[in-house]
Amino acid sequence: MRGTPVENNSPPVQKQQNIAITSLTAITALLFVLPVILGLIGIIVPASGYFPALGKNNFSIDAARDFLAIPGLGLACWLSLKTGLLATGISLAGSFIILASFSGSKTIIWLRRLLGPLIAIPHSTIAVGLVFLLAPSGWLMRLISPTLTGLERPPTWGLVPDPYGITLILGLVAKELPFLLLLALSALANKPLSRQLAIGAGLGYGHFTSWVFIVLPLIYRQIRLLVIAVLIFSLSVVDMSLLLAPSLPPPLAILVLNGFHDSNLAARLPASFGAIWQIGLALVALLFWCISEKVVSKAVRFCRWRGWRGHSAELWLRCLSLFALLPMLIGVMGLVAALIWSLAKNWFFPETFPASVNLLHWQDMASYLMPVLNSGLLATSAAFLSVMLVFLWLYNEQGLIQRNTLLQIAIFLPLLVPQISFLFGLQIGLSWAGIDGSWLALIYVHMIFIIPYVWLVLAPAFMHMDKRHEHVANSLGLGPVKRLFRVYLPLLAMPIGASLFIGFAVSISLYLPTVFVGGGRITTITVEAVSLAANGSRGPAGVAAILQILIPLVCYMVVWLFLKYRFGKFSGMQGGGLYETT
Amino acid sequence: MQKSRFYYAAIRIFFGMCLLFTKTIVNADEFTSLQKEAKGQTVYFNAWGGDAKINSYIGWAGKILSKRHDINIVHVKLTDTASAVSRILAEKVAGRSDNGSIDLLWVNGENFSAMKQARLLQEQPWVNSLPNWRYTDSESLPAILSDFAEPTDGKESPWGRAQLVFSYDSARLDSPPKSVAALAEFITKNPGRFTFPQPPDFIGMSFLKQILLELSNDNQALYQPANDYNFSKVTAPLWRWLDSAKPNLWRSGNTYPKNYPVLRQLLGDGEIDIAIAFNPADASAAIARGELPSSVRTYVHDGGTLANVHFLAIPFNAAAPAAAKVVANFMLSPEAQLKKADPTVWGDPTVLSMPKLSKAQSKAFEELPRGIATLSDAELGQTLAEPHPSWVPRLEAAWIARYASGK
Repeated sequence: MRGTPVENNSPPVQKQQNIAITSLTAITALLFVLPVILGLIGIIVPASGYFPALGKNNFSIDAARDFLAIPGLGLACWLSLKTGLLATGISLAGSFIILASFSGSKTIIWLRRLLGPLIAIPHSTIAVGLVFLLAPSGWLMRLISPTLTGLERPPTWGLVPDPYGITLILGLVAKELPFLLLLALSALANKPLSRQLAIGAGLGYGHFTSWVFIVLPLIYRQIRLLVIAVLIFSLSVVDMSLLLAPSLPPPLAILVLNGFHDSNLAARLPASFGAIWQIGLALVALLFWCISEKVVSKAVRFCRWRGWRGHSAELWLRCLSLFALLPMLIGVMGLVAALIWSLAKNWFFPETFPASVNLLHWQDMASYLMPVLNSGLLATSAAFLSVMLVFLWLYNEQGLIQRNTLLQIAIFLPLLVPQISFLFGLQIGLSWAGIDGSWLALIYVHMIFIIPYVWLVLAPAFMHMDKRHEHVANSLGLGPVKRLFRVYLPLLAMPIGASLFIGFAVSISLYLPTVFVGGGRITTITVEAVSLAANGSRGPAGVAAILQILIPLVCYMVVWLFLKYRFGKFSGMQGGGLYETT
Repeated sequence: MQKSRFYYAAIRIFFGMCLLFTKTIVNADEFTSLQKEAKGQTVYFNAWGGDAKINSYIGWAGKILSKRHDINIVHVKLTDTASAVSRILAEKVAGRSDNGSIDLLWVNGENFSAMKQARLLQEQPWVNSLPNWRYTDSESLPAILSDFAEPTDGKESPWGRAQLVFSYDSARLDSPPKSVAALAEFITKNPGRFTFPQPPDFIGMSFLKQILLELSNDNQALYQPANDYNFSKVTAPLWRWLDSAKPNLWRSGNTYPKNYPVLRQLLGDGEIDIAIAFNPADASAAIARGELPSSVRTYVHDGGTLANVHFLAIPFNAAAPAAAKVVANFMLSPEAQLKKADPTVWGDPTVLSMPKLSKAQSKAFEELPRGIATLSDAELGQTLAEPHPSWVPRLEAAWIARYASGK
């Protein structure tokens, strides 16, 4: 039905078939919203004071009252709001600055190659690295002590943990900046960039100003939904907060999580209310974000109206762009520290390097085997199923979801609702169905978090695919199955590979969903790494962190090599997608 | 009050003896059939997984159990035992009364008490019917029948003993402060170099209880259920102590380490001068792994330190209760207890009674090496009993209300 010339004259039988396919697509899409909705119901009920297992058979406002009485709640909310907004704002600004100052240069090609593996580094790994690096006794301090500082002992002040949330913001930026940069780069792929810039230059704008005035608004519009997802994630992040955030009070999400994990079982009721409160906080942040958007766009418009050409700003922004690279650099350096810790024995302050090196922690590899295998199996199956599903949606009825805003939002819903706000309810729901802690449930829940990203890569690729190839295949008499294998798969091999890899990386880094749904029965290397790092075992945490990045990197290599050798010859026929081989 | 504690203990011992007497006869047969049932089952053992050496001990036990009894142990590594309790509760809410996700749980004190109240434990008492129960002696170690003064009712099997010890770096500190008063003075003189794990962490709470017990001079009210009338009066000395210490704590008491391994790491890094552990051999083991300098030593307070027993419990909806019992029985065996007490493995003191073991067995326990920083039994000195568990949630809430607001 897609784009065929005979579309309007199709016989009624085919029409019926199409309606069936359309509704099937819609139903499967909705199936992936269901967990969020179920989870929200499972939170709202206890939040309104009803929890028969604890003998609470009446609805009441007790849960709300108890939650609002938690000491330090105001500060916790402020901390969440601050980290969420600042981390998102800095990441977005940083990625745009890098894009604007390096685009068209060799650096950007080099950066782009680096970004693939970089975004595959899970949040928790970055956090582990930052702890190793920035703690008062961390590697940075050891590098300059005692020669520069004169310190024989670590100082009594420091950034890990810090009461202001600076380290948490830094960690989030180190993770989200490359992600947004990659998104922006792929949004750029389909824009007539050089023409637009030439127009800008012709009007006397500097390189940078043409970017800000002409290109960036276009890119931002395209990636806006994902920026909001980043905002909501940053606002309610758990794994990074466990390792980097202050603890008195912690960010709101940790406060809620503590409630769910309190040995006083009645604490689950106020925690449920807290989970809803978290949604409220997300809405406040969203409101603030939208206002900021308006202000920035007004400011840009004003500058444009004043005819500001911005030549004086060029140099400054160029300097800033180097700063924007800093978080990524810190992230990478933290990983080096993690590697050293995994090999270290007797490494006491202020020595720059360990007194002795051994493989003690690596010999314990056998105990990591299970979580590594689980991670790999889970990520592979969830990514494959997600890509397959999204591909079939697009192949059968590609316009449907794109045309229907409601379905679009449905697909992105799991990214737009804070995880902590629906996972406890979902756990009760899955337990009720008797499938919590099962592979089935875990793969399913991982898929709902993967699908939006897969959609993000595949949908534009489908949209921009050169339909003439398909028309040629049609006129040569190829049926739908043959068309799928002979035309679509080879032409879309690159985006499919990219989406597989992204799905894989997302699954590896999922922490909270794995904890809640896996029920400890299925534990992944990410859960293990967070637990080890939170428990101060630096050696084992170093090993886990290295394993945690090795898995997606191996996957990246495999996918990339396979695509290059099997489908490399088609790459010239198809633009778009996140991973062009340019 | 001494009298009433004795009375409590006597009742429990009597109760235990009666059970033991009636049970031993049928035990052997019953347990053999249990072992048969357990064959091929998988036990999801939920245990705090924050310590590599404990994890590898559980791994060792798993290998033996799979060889001898064809039982597959999966160690579910918890960051917080309460999260497992939460999971069992969620299952109860969902009406899942069998085939639950947890078969065996490492637990004590507050969590046990919470589970007991919410009826999340096996209905029937099972511990006294374990064949290896005969190696224990509740007379010399009454704590195996009462967990934080909460009767265990045969619903959790003793696994190990713990005593609060402090560690310090002898290269930096000559004489550590051996009482709360001396500790207060030390904190004032060395700002930023002392802290404790943030309550409600288990060790953090234990530290608060230690301070409270020492300051309140064996106040018997602490061994009775807490109530609204006496709580603030009894705990007042603790808050005074903490209030005056706070400004000179690590990071001015504005943040605390998460748990005792993190605390130990801070001692290793030299950020703080004194760390706390609930295991006398912990520092020695950390020295052996290169996590603490070899100059670290341990000490206890002159008035004695808090001691308790930790247990294994089976949830009401365990999927493999038979296999879980076989595992608990193995964990209680002289073989497993000896391995656990070895400081190069874990260094967790045994719950077994030496006179009840064979000569060779008790000799093996005697001959275990003591780590370089581990105190002898005589040096560990007298122990303080755990207060009634009802004090813990109140202390927790009061601490949070006072110090968690970040002001």
